[in-house]
Amino acid sequence: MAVRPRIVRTVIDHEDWDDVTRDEIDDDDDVDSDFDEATYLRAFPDIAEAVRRGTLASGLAHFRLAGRTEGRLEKAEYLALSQTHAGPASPQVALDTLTISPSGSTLITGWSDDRFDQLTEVDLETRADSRHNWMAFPRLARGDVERTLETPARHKFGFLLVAAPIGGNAAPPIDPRAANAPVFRFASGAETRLHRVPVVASDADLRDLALAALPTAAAGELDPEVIYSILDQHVGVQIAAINRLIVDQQRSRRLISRTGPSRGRYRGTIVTTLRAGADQIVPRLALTAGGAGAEDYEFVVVVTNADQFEAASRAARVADATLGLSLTLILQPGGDPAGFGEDAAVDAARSDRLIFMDHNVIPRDLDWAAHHTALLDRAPITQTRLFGGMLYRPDGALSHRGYYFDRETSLLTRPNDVPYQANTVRLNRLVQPSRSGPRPGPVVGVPGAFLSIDRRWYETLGGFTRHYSRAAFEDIDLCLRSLKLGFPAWVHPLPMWHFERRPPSRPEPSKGGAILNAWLLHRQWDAMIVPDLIGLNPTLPGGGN
Amino acid sequence: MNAPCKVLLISLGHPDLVPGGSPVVCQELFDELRTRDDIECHMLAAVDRESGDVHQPKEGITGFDGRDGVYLLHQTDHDAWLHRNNEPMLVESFVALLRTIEPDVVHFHHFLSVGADLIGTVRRTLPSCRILFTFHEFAAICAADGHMVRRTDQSLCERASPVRCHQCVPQRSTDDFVLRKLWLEQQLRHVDRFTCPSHFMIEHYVNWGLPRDRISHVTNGQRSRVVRPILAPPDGQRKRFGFFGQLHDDKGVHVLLRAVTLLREEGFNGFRADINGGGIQHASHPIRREIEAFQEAERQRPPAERIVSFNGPYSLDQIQSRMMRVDWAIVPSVWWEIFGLVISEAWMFGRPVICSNAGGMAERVTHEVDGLHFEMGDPASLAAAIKRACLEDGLWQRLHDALPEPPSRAAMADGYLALYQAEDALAS
Repeated sequence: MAVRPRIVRTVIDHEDWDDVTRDEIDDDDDVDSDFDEATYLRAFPDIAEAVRRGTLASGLAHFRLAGRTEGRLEKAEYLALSQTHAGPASPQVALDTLTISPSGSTLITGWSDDRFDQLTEVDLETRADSRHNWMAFPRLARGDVERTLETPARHKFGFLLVAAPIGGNAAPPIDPRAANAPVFRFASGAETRLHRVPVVASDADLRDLALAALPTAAAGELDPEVIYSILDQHVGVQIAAINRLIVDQQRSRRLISRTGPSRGRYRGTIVTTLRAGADQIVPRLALTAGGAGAEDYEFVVVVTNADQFEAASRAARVADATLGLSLTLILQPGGDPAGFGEDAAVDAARSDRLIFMDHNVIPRDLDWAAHHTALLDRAPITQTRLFGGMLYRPDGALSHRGYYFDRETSLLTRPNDVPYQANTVRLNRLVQPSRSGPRPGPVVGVPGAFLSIDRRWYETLGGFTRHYSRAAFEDIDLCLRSLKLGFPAWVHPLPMWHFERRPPSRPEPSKGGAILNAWLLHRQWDAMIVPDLIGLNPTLPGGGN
Repeated sequence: MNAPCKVLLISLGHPDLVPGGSPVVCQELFDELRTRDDIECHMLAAVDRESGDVHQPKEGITGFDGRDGVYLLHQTDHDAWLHRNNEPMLVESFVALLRTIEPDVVHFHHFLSVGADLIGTVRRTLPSCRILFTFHEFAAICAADGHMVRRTDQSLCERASPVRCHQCVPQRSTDDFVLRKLWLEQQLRHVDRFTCPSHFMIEHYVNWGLPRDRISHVTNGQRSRVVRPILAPPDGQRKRFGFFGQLHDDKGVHVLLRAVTLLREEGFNGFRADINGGGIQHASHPIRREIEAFQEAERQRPPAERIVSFNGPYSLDQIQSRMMRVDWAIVPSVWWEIFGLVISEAWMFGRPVICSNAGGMAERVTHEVDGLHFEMGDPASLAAAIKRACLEDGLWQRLHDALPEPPSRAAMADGYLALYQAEDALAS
């Protein structure tokens, strides 16, 4: 029987993110009909170990690379196992969580006393033609199990299994309660099938459950190495894929209404995803659209909180009567995942320029739109393809004129051990005015709070990533993708007020979400950041910062 | 013959429905403009649920009591922080009214209850319309009742800043005040001409950021309230004093009561004080308790020992009878008191004014010429002024003889008409 191995990468090429799911279903080509992934790994522990370490993606990968030539399927170890139906007694396995969404996302947590017969594979058939198969997965320290078994804390009993649906958003829905019992296989060939009715949850709830498990999975250790190693073993990729799935699921569920004057095309589209009460819509629009040049721009407000839909609709009518601007209101339930509102707005935009403005950003200069237009008309395209402005706190201090990276060293304490010195790369804001004054220049990134980008370039870059948990780093992620193609973001002296403290602000991701976001950022970009982009004055195409 | 100039006055309330000086002034202007042949005047007054059955929150804008040219804006879902409307039907009704009347001039008397967003709505709906805005206090500058009195120590406030304002209204963040100012500035920028009834107010608004050359002084004016011949007061000492106004903190009635207590304690009892006005429910708890305790103590005294009489609220139709019972009007306000209509009313009946030495009171009443000042908020200073007013021979007559004529409503209307017809409009 052919097995579809899951792809596991420890260092992830960002270009592969969108292909995670596709890769998984494209590998089923030309495999010897006698090949069985589980048997193969059980028969050849050295290969299984290489898969666990991440050196090999799967047993199948080894088979294609060398095993076929070596005649591994004809070796006695493989033949003996493949012809054996009855194996030895299985080690103990316990499930804490078995949660499946109707789209097929799956979360399994639990533990196994596999000290003497290693757990090598977990298999879950969610419907007749779809199954999750985990050949490599993180093992977690479980203090509770260690205490129960009265064993020294040398063995990691726990496991954390996460899977996005095979086929992604295109996969047909499943009946989670009809899923087969998960099968746990061990190195000896023994296997255990645990019958348990799964908990049915939405993808979002399942994702949140998985994120909530992350801090626990690290057993209280906030050491990035520990946490990242857990995420590296498929968990991070799969949660990110679920994040994207959640966004994609919502895209078809939106209501769009337009008010005010309407033109065929506009000079720019000012996009705001409402992350506050709808009562802020009209004041924001009045302060953004009140000056010269604003008539050349259209406004798109995306509301993702269903509680605010009615108030937002009323606010749009008030805006129409009192401001008379071109307003598109998009009501799209689904909360606030990264890239969610922005995607919806881009779909409705009627211009070649997208300007993303947080609800708590307000131009300092009433005529900012005219200045923005002049900038597009006069500055070289390399300086305007993607750029930000100067954000100021309401007390007048500069709060953001772009991002920079620096190294951070911190001491992490470990139970019963010497402190561990962790070296990480940290993303920071430039908050000091430039010595040369508010002049334009390239930076490694600009904040999504105010970000102006050529629409075709936005689409070339693939838009804001949807892999992050809520919004975090999606702006620097976009800028780094642009930089990777040779075009750094610029900042221009367009001054904006940034009311960051005004509640309710954008909700912070959960602790687990923050862990995932940091992992996503670092795993995708650290190789690029270090060493070229470190420091206040990184070397960037088009001049230093 | 030229078509008449169409004027729409917008008031925070109608004087028949809500107390307060601003609605009275707006009504006076409306009544005067309706007498002018070359003016077609309309008035829109906000009304809220405090007006009972008159308030029709589902109607947007209606007429009022069959009165020609008068409309009510039925306020609902009003954002009292930013002074803006959340109810689309209301603003849509306003736009429809503008398109129906097509006024040449829209004259706002305040944005409280009305909504500052309606200023921009006028500009957007009728781009060539001239917009005037009359400040009746400091609501744009001060979010603490618009009085510019520091809630921290009750001192007069000279300037607003996010930190200072946050100290007075701690439930709002400093950022809130920045945003509030940005919003109000954005709405007020549509105004062609601002007016203030007192000169000192202009300085406050210039300090706040409005361009001086767009602010004019136009006095408040009233019709004469003299409906019967004014009888000469009896000969002898002038020792009857009257307070006219709301019984809440800023009007300072408690300062007068404390002055009475001081005089009584020193054995000076030979005077009387009438308290005319209501609204004690709007007073702060301590001030209300103080006033009510004083009232009760006074009631417990034998009639011959009583100094203070609480006469309750009054309508303008009753002002003559109330004024005729006193020799002096006391205006002890502990805020800036931007104009003080009661000063005009006192002058109508030949009553000199004893007032706090600040703001609009000090600007209008000239100390030792047509009235007396005392140190604002100081009961001892007021007690001394009362004692002097009772005892100094010839003082009352001297001040009485120097009283100016109160500004008439015609003079007020002429002042506004000059601005209505000025050529400095912002309108595109």
